Amino acid sequence: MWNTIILEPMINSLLYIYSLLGHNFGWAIIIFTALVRLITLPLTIQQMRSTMVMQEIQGSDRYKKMQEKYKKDKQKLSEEQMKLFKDVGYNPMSGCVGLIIQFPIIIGLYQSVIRTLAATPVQLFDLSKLLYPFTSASLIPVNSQFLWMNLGQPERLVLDFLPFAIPVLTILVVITTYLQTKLTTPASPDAQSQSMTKMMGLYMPLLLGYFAYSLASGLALYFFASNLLGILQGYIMRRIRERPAS
Amino acid sequence: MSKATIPLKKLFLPIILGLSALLLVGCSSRSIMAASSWPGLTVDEDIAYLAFNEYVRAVDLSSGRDIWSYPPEADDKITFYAPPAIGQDGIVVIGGYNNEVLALMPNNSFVNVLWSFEEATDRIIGGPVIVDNMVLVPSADGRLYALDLETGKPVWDKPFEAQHALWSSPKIQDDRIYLTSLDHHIYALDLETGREIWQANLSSTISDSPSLTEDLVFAGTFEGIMFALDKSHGEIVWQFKADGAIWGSPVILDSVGFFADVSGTAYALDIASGKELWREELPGSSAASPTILEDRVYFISETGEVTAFLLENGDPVWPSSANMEGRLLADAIPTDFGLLVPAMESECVVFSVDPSTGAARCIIEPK
Repeated sequence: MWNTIILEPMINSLLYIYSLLGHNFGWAIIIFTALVRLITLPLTIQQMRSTMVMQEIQGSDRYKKMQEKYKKDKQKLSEEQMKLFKDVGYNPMSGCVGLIIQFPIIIGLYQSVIRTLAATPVQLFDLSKLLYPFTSASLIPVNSQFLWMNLGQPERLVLDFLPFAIPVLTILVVITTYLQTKLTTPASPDAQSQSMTKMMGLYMPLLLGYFAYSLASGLALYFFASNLLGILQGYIMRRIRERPAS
Repeated sequence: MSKATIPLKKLFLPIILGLSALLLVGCSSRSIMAASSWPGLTVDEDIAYLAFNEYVRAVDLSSGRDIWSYPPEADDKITFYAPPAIGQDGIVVIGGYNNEVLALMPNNSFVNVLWSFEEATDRIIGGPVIVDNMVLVPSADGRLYALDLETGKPVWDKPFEAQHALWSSPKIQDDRIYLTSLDHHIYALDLETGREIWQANLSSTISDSPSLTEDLVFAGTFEGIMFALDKSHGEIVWQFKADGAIWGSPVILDSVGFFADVSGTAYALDIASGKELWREELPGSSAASPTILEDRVYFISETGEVTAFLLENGDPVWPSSANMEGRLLADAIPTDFGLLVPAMESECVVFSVDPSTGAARCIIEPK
């Protein structure tokens, strides 16, 4: 089921893009990530809008007053919050729907990159079962060399004049993840949300940085491309939000 | 109650991130962080040499007990999957996913390392092959290394280099090496110098070793085509399109070649013309080469079955397949202890199948 709906279409699309790009798997990952981001853009926008509306609500006097008034009665506070959401026409689940739909796509994207790289015999054998009849088997194995990287191995840049190797992509993933989290999760007036945002800003770069350092660099490239596009999206959304109404 | 909700909310994000991490890497990380392949098995009389995960083991097939294992202490960064090569004087050559080749000299339950070769820059996936006083080692770095069996020093001026990884063992016949690569080519090399005699582009990846007869060399491709090439010059004599990708080498007996594909179909072809003699459906995909014993041919399915057919007409021998737990992707080896079938993702590393009844039992358990 997972293979049929998610993995097979993604792997075969990835290979199709790879064939169009002159067998450059690095660019195929970047273009494929951009396409998937484009397809899921409406969901991302919906999720971001939901976050913004929530922040406006949290900044309103009515919200602040009820926080103060019912700070010792969480149940009553919750009831009042729901009333407020209903009054302004906000569905607290609206942001989650986008996330829930995007989540399997992100997982599938990651798995399709790793499975297409097929660095071991078992992975290559499994890949042979996921190809559509019209996908040319001559594309396999994919050329995993991209710039100085072997996309099937963890990335390290070795410079002659340095006694150690530099994990360039890991550093880029950490920085861009931090920036993306900052950009797409604007400051909230609510203390609890602020705490969550702070934790997210700390955990996400570390977690993705760890993956980028220890797993195949094809995955790190996907993280980096995805983050850059996320930063771009976040920037555009912020500009739209800050633009004065005509 | 309100006191309980605050810490839970604080834990929410790390929990979600942790679960996401598990989902992200759950299916694939093992294969990247730790090498993943099927067991490499070689049998010499009543001793099985098994390379699987962190150990290479010599197992007494009559008792199922380990005679020795290497290394003494497991290191999860060093794994072994290439079938070991056994020399005449008991020397065992192994290759690891740490790119290293080792020559071991067992002494009862102890193992001495005679030499190590560390010039390969990628994993040793295909099994080394010993020819006289030389060992040929295919590497995923695309090079075929020829090493002196006694010293581990390179024999050729330089290793033969293909355009992509070598994942299969070379085959030797009449002072020539026949070698397949993931670069879509099959190569014929001079055994003494390692120089290329000819190469043939088969347009798709070749994962397993070639098969040889007196005049022809056979190789199946990822595109599902079985090729027969002229051994002298590498010209294509015939080709046969199978239903799915071909992984395992064909097995030749007299004038008939047998192989199976990933779609789960077994074939018998006339090797002179490439004409199909019979085909039969298997219970699942097949990555292994078939095995011939007396008047039967045995096919291994990934899904855990061994199926036997009569060589003559492809009629099934057993009413139903022998069924084993786990994934069966490696070739079976015929021995006095039955047909030995390596397994992965199983509670048993090697099964023994009775070739006459199809009954299976575990003969080598995990360490």
